[in-house]
Amino acid sequence: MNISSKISEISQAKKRRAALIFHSRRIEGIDVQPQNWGDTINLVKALFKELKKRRFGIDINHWGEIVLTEPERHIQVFLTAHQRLKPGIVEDIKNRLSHADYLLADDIYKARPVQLEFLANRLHAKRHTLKCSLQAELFNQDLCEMADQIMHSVAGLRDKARPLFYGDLMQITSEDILCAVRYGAIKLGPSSQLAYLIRDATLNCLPTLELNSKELIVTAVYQRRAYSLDEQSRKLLAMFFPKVMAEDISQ
Amino acid sequence: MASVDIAQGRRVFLLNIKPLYIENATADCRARLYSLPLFCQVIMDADLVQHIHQCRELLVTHGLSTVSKRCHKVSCFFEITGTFHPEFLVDLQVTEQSVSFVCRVSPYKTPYFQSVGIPISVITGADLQLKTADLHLNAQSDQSALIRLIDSKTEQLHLLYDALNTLEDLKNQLETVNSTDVDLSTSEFYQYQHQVHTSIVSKELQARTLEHEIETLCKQFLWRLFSIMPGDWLYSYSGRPKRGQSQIVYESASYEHGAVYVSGKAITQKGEVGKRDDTIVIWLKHDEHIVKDQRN
Repeated sequence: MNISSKISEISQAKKRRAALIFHSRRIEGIDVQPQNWGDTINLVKALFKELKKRRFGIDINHWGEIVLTEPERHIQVFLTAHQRLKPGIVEDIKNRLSHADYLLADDIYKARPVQLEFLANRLHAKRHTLKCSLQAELFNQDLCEMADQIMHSVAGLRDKARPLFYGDLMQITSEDILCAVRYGAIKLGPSSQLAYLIRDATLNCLPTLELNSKELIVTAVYQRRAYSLDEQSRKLLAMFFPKVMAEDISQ
Repeated sequence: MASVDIAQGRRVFLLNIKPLYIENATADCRARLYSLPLFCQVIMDADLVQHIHQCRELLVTHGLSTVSKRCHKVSCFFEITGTFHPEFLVDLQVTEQSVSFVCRVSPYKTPYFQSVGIPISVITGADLQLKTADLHLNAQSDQSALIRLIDSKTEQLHLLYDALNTLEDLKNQLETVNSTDVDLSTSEFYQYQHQVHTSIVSKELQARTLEHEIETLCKQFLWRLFSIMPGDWLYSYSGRPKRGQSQIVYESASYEHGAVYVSGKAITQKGEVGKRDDTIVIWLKHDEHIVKDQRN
């Protein structure tokens, strides 16, 4: 397992994260302002080194989602770095904005430093925040404490429980393809092929989508359709799924 | 709230979002192409307030309805990703009454959602600076030309109103004509009736545009004389016993019989914008003091 290749995978996936507003599930990963990107990556890299010593498995998704696998019981943990608002605050804002058009909120703006969080792949799992700061120098002791925190919280979990997300998180799902198609439909305009695809009525009955380098296959309940992609949409989908599009060309 | 915020010179607003020009908002969620943010965050500091004031000056001096400008102090929060979106373009849109923000996120090519408007009195309320103005001013040469322009336009408007009255009388008479007196079956009668109707409509339109022109001229006049804009808070004390004091938010201005009437919602004793309407009268011509001074 080469850590620098994992880091480069994260930075390659950075450009794809703009499309995440079209995805149906929340995807964890690194969402920070450009000025904090370098510091955050350094911290994550140092944490990866510490976790590698403890035999954690580290996997990076095509969306740049970081999935850590605990060595003993193979429980999956998501790692995120972000400047998000706290989930309680979001609910509060929603509630208050339903009664008023606008509100004054100074405290929300202040409380936004970069935070590292982790979340076990379990239903109703709690988000834990890692105690760290970007500005302080990184000591081994801090990294040890952070790794310990992850291990302790995972150790408290039961052996068998329902996961938050089923299936292989490294695979490309039909939701991922749909998200990319939506992004493409907006980017390439209403006359493009992807905009035509999104208006397809079969999308309403939860089809499974598959992708080749040449065609997009939509399999609904009673019908299976293959749309051969034009060059414009192939280029755009290659930005999201470079491996899939490259494999078939070589054949 | 106010004292702390003014000291820092920066306030943060969270604004509701409403979609713009979205056609199939009720379509199925899987085919949905427009992803709307939960709210929009605006950092209102001295810089942005100054930009807003510049836009308002343009509104008054050129008689415009909206002025927009690129702005970088706004970010949009998406609930689905739980973050503020990294790439977006925002235009500040200033009207006489409110300030709103028209936005789009990166893949979209046209703006597709807009924030609700913040009333201008909320924005200007942060820096309360009282300016004093003497109402018994001699109209200077620059402003007297404006007054003459307003006068001529009001005369035109009154003439138009007279013409309209006579035309409407004629129309009523035509409607009540007996069939015994005139032969109604001829096409000439109907043509004449039609002509009267169209001329009434066109004159009403002219009158409406003239009214609008007079209002913008009045606003320009007030801006030149006292440098006040719609949305400002005005307080007047004329020394008269009945309608001595009045404090309003300046919304509209009109000119009649040598006086400018500034009207708007009254400000309550708590310092909030109330529900009642109130007016402040500024005498320009027929005030005895001014006439005497000119004679001397």
